[in-house]
Amino acid sequence: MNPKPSWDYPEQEITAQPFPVDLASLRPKPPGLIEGSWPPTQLIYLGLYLGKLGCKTIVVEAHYVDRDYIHDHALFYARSLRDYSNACERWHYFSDAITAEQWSQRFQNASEKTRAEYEQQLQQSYLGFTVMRPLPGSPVGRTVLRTYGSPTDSGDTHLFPTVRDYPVHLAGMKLIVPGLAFQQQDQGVSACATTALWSALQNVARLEELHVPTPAEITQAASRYLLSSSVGRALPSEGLTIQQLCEATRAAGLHPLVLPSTSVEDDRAQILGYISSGFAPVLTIRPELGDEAHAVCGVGIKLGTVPPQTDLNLRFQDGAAALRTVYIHDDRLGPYAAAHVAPWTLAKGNRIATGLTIDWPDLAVPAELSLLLATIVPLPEKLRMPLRRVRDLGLALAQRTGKLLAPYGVKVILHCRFRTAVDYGRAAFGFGLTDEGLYKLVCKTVLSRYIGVIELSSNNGRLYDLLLDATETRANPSALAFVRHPKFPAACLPNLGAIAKTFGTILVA
Amino acid sequence: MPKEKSSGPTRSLQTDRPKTVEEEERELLSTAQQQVRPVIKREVEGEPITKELLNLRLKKPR
Repeated sequence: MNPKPSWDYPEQEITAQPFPVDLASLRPKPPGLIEGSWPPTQLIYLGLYLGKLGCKTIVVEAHYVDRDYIHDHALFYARSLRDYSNACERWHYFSDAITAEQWSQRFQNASEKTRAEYEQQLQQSYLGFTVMRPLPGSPVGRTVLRTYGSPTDSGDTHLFPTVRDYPVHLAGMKLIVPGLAFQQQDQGVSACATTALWSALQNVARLEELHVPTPAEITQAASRYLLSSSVGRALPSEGLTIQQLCEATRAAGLHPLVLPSTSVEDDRAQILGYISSGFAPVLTIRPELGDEAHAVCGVGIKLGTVPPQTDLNLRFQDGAAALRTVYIHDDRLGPYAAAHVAPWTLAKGNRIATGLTIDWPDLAVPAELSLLLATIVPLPEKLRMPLRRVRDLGLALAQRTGKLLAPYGVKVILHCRFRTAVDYGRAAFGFGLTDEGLYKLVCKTVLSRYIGVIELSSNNGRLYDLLLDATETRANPSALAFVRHPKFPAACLPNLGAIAKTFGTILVA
Repeated sequence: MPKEKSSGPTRSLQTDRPKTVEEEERELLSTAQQQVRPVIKREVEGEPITKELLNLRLKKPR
């Protein structure tokens, strides 16, 4: 007999419990034969990652309507024979120990004042959340977690410039978690490429005040005009091609830049430059021992010390050479997984490729070596100048500056990235410019919305920046201003002024 | 004082005038550009965007 239809509203319950040693123990094993393993690697990874962040409490929100999942549900799961719920659970993580009694007591004899106090207290220990989907094999939905702190134990630096703030509403309180959303592919609506692009769009779409498409919308946009050559149909998703990724990016109002892997030096410079600019790239990789290609999203970077220059003809150090690790959202694993960057000699053709070694959390699985195939960066429409052109100009400028400052014992380091004019203008107040210089830069200089920034620095601090108009397609005739920092030797100011004139622009000092 | 032989006053002015800092910097920047050209060439000489790359299907490898 069929169950009677129910028009009742769903019930809600929000409870606190200690963070379990085994996070997967909170999720019942689905019945029947499971394809793959149980618990899913993503749940194991999340448990390990949260343990490293010092998680002590998990607050479970029993009923949560997730925008991304409900679109997946409407497109795919609503028409399945099985009665998939359209609602999820949401798990919130805290670094403070909160017992179930302490949690419920907070809502007794409460007032606006106690709410504000409790909200502040929870905010201080909030580590993020995971939406747990009612899908048996792929439960990990939208997950936003805090990143690792910086610096590392080894003295390296972690940077996560692509993260943004996500507001969270829990039991009448508003919390904020900085991070970049991750989710596991469900293989119904999304594959790895879908979730990688979905993560990559999170921050850049916010910058451009665009709607962030759901995985369902990405899959639909990707297959609107282009069908997968191997399977034809769009659903269930069997993966996307790079061309389809580009199509979905365009449909989201952004422009895809495809960069085939060229050399380790260039790949390092491109990945570092775009991530430093806040643009999360999709990295397409192929495991060394496999035929299938895979997509992950680059989220953060780990930088070591800048190594000395190995080319005797060059008078500067390349800041991009300090890139050790890219933190990636790998949907086979979880958020902020470490992928170590190193050159890898291919057996075929004696070519040196860019290798990414991805650490797996469980020791039973050895670290996986993959080769970088291409980097796809969703960019705003008005950012036309590719980073490579900024860098080409930066190399020449660093070489000239290295020679100019060699008599002063200053070693020049080159970094290139994009910034918004707003961010740069705000930061300029801390540059140590003269009163005239600051006024000239922020009140008398027109900057494009995005600017290409060639940053020359030394081990003691920044020397000067060249700002380029990123709406131009050529770096050379698009100099907006040279901005001198206090560590640039005063004796060489006439030379810097002359260099600025050569570029046809002003010097702000 | 006898006049020195010259091909003309204009040419003499051009060759004898010391270079300005701006002219010197222009030349030095041009030299720097030549010096980093091999690096640029090495970095960007790689795989072009081929149809094969664009049609590469991305799916979970394991």
